[in-house]
Amino acid sequence: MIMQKKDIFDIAKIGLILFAITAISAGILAGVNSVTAPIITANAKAKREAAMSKVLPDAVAFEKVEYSALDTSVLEAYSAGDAGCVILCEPRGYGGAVSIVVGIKPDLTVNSIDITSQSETPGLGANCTTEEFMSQYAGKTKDIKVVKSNPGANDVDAISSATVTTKAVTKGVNDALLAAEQVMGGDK
Amino acid sequence: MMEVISVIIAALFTENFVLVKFLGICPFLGVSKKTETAIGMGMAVTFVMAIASMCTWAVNHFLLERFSLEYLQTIVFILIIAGLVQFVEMFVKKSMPSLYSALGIYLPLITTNCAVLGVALLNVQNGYGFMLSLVYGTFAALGFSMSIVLFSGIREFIDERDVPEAFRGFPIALITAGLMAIAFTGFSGLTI
Amino acid sequence: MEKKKSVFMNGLLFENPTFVQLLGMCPTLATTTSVKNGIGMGLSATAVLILSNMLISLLRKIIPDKVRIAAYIVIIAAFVTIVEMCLNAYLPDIAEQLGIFIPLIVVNCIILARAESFASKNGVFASMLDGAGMGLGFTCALTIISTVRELLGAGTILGIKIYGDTITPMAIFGMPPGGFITLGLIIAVINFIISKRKAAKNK
Repeated sequence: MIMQKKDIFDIAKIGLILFAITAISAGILAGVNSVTAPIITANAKAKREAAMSKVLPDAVAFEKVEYSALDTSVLEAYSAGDAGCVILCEPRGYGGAVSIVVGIKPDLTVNSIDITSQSETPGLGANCTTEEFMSQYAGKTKDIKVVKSNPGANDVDAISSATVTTKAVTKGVNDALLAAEQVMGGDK
Repeated sequence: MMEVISVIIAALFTENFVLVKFLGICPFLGVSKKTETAIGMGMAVTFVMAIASMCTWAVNHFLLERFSLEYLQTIVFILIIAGLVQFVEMFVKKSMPSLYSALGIYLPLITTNCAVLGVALLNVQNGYGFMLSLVYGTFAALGFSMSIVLFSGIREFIDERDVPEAFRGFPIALITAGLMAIAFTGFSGLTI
Repeated sequence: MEKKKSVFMNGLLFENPTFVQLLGMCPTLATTTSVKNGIGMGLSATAVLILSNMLISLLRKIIPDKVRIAAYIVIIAAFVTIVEMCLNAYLPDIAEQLGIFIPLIVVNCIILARAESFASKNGVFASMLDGAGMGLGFTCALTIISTVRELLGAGTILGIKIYGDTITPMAIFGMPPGGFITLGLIIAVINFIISKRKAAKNK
């Protein structure tokens, strides 16, 4: 009888210590979280705005616009008033999602694009982040096509050995242009 | 339905946990000397990962997200997994003693198998619902089992060969794994 | 002092967690695609190692033996989450690159292994030294592997171009297979050096 009591006491003690360790850890984490969480949100916002200003430098402020369509890679749309609009899209590339920020001028041509994250094959598809490739999209209008040689006025030259990536980026930009038409449609 | 199939293909081939995502390398190298133990390990991991996917989804959805305690994810998930592994260990010890002794130290080590915690975190990151979490967890584990069983087959074969001294043991195993990973890069880009 | 020094050097060289003990293989392979990532991962793990070794050593008389592993895991997970939050807040670039492998430091076998085999039996200062030695050993290993992989795979070191205009870098070294093969070759070289030394000693 005495043994049993001791056992129960032991188990309770062990449980209590473990619980105390967990509770203290959770408390400390809550404290650290309250310090870092605002910084993390601010960072993410600053990063997104920096990317948006980069593709549309004339814009003063961005305002989020609701946009939804079937079979689109567009995630979010932001209107920048008279300067145009910025579309965030994420088409599927060869190695996963490719995040693209597209800046579009009021006349529905691409101002410039920026690829913020991708996991394409290094040395091949990953070359899509080069300025040389991304600058090809400037000035293009909707229905951009991918070609392997002699690009015409509204064509994009595919990255060698990475046609899938090029097509993915192009799909993203085309989707963004369609979205822009709707976002800025009210202004015209 | 299409979404389920594409998650299955990703989990098995294009994002194979061991050979593409580098999750679960420790047991992959440690328990792959014999095909028999590799199969046992694969089964145990599959069981734990399938149940862990369900439990962590439920806890995350009904507790952590509701009370915006997402920052406790890592701690809570690892505790759930540790408890599950303890349970599986007791179960295997009682019902399959031969498998228990074959798996040895690697059974409790499933807790520290990063594939299990990895799948729980990836489910959250990818925003999978209950069904997709379960499918992803199960098939990622099957992908792990497939790689470890294939790998153990090759290693049994290598053991009988005359390997240069400096390469014996881990180095040749790692290089073999590298060649298998090259084969698996052939799957990348496979989508439907 | 001699003993303290040997505790530190043990982790750094003779019992190097990566090359000799072959622990913590997942982050070793996954995060060594570039030198920056490798060092980032190594230092994050080192921070967790020192802190968790310290706390576990402090609490070693309080933690009940039966549930020690669970207690260690909770302590380690707490420190990892703190490191993750700080990285996200102050070094978001590295945090994004390392991604899921930061929370996965929790299940890095090196940390639990040191808690169980060293910190639970030794004093606070020695445990912290052990954590620092092991952590830096891990960091060195990651730096070596990532240097090889970044140089061969992208032709750069820390993002600075070394070659690449005349010879195209072998992208495969930056991809998963390259991780396995590079680590295999490095361990083979170390084995070779050790066996040569042993042979020389025996003569």
